[in-house]
Amino acid sequence: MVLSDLRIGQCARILRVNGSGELRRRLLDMGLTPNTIVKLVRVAPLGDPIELCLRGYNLSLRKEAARDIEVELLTTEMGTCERPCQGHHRSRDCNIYTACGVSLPPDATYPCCSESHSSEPSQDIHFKRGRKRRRWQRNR
Amino acid sequence: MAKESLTFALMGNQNSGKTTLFNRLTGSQLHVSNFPGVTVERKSGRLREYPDSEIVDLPGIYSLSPYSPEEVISRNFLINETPDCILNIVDATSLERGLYLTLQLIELDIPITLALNMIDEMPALGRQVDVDLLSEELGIPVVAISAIQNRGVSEYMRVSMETALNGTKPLKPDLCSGPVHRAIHAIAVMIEDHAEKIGVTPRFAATKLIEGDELFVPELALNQNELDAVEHIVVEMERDMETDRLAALADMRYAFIGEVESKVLSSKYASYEEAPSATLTLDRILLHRWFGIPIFLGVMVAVSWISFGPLGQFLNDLFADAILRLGDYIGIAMEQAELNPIIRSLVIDGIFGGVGSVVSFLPMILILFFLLSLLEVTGYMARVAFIMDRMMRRIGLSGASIVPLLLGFGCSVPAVMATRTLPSKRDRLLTVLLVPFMSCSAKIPVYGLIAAAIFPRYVTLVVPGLYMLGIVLCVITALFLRRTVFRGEASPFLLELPPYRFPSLRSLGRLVRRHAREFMVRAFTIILLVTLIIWVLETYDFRFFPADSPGSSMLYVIAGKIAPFFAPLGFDSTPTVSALLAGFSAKETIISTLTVAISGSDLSLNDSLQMLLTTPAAISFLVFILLYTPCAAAVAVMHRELGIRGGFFLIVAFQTVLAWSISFIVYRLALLFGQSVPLFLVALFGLVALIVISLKLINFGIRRRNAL
Repeated sequence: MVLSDLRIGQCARILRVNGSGELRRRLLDMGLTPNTIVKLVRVAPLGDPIELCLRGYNLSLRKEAARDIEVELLTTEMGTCERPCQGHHRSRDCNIYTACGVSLPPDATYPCCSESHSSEPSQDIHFKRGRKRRRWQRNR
Repeated sequence: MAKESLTFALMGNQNSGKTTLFNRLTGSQLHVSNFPGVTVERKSGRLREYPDSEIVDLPGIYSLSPYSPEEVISRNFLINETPDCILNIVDATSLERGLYLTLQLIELDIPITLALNMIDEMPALGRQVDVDLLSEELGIPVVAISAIQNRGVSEYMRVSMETALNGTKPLKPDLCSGPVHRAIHAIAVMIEDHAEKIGVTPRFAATKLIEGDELFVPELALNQNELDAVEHIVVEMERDMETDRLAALADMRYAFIGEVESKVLSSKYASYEEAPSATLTLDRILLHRWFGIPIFLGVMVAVSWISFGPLGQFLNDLFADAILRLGDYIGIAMEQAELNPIIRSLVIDGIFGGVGSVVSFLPMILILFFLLSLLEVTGYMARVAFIMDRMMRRIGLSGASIVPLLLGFGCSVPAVMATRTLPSKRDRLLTVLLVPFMSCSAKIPVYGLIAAAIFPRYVTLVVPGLYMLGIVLCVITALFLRRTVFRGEASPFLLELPPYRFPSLRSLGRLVRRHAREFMVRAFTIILLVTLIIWVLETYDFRFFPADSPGSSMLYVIAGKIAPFFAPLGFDSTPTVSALLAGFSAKETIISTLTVAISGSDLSLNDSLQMLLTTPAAISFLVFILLYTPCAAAVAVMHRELGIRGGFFLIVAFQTVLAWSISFIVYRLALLFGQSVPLFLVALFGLVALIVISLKLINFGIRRRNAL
């Protein structure tokens, strides 16, 4: 799976950054390094650049570049975290970032993270909104 | 004092508040120049509290990699001119990314202090930074400041001064761990003497070797054996890390930062979800899937309306009026002094007339610049780039270029100056070259008058048609330039969308004032010269006696001589050509010159125009006016922004040759399709469509061949 396959509100962990040259270098410099957790915040009105949230800030990049970034989807049914990027949360001995303070669900496959994120996943209202948007995206 | 004068280099990410801090630190004395050889601005100023010391504002960058001109410049400045102290400014609200640059700066082993800016925003986010601990972890002095509120700034400067005077280098130049650390050290030991020969630290040289930096590695002059050994070490490191060298290095730095951050940063909220923020709400509206673009267009209309509309117009008139009065006053004074009437005419008609038309631009430019800077500083401009990127990418530009181009419909001068807000040099140059294709508002009366005289029924068809033609040619030119002059990759589109912020009005005011001064000083000289020349040509004959009739002025005679060049375009009469020549000073003068030139006859203006121009000739004349050289003011600022020697003449020649060729085609087409304007328009756009489609097909063919 690559970064451009994400839907709005989904989070993923970066596995590898492919590509070459200046673009790759910049992606790494901007913090898109392996194991970083990113969230797709929004897609531009015309459908191309996308806005990501990572390492506590918001970054926009073109889908073309996003296709070079291999990711692993964190969870499909995660409640959309509608809050903006305010930072990330992480425990001392965990090397995995969580973007935008997204709460990982209790059954997340990253035990060191779930420890520090034992709080409930996002509230119902967020879930509903997320489902609605996904349905709308499917229909499109 | 150990040294007579100290040099400080201000470094930081974009949007980290560099400009605000720079303005706080320096007084009003500001020296702006370009870095040698490139059109990247170099701002330097004297420190307000320590007048002996100079501070250089380096471009906002994220990393010291060797790609964009901004990064290369910053790096070369740091290595070659070794400042006494680096002032590194970091946005406390996105600490992690800011520290990435800090780590690279620490590697340089130059005295450095860190300003943790925007500390005032932290309580609202429920976050807190332990500044002392951060300082200890990084081994460099850290001061929390708020540049906008002027908090901690003088304390920061005091600390920096101390660091610079004592030459205190970073205490912990080795900020890393693991296999990368081992590789760096192995290489550093090996190449120590090479690095010292060119005056950099072995550690910095080692990192650059691992990164495979094309610009830096040859400078080290390693022999093949050493290069092989380095390669061997790096390959081993890649195997240990199970990733490639670039990712390994970036990962190492971010891992270190993460460790530091988890120690120094504490947050009130378990996850940052609860922290309140206006940015999200605003973005949800301003970047809305359907409303985003209409809102952007609305903002642009508002900006143009305020600056070119009633308010701007009113101020312009006020200014022009004041200058006119001053001119009258001086004129009367001169008359009383019984000066030579020719001198009087030079001062009144030439200088005051010419200057008046230029200075009356000023209020408009100031308002426009103020509004644009406001959009820039609040963070909306980054969103514009985000919204419009897809559309602009087709012509090889990024989204932010849309703003100068749209402003070009108002006036080319501020539009060209607005390109300064673009992040990359390539985009800036390309956008500057495309601005003249946007038909400026000064041309509207010209179109209106001629179209109304020659084809009154089709004014509403012809004028929008001209605008469309300009846009289409802009796209074609952009595609052409992208394939030729601006070949190579556009700089990658990776844009930070900063949180919305309230601007510091004082900083904005300073920015606007600077632009005003620059416009007056730099553009003025050329504009004044050109208007003076045109005025002399208009008023005198070749014996330098005042021309008794318009027909005997130099302008008219020269126009008569070059008129045959315009025969293939259909308008080779002397009045039209002299009007075009006069139009170089300002497009509005086309009408006045035409009126004066044909005022000798008894016919009305409309009738004389009909005598001068047939329908096809009128169409070709209008197209020529649309495309030929922009006015002197616009060319002057374009020349300044391009920074190429001979740029002035290049622009004039390019636009005129282009205008000639297009007018020629249009005239021939018009002749073919006789006198029917609608039929002609259909034919013209049919032709354009044909060209575009064939270009696409050729492109497709090339891509197919490359794919096979």
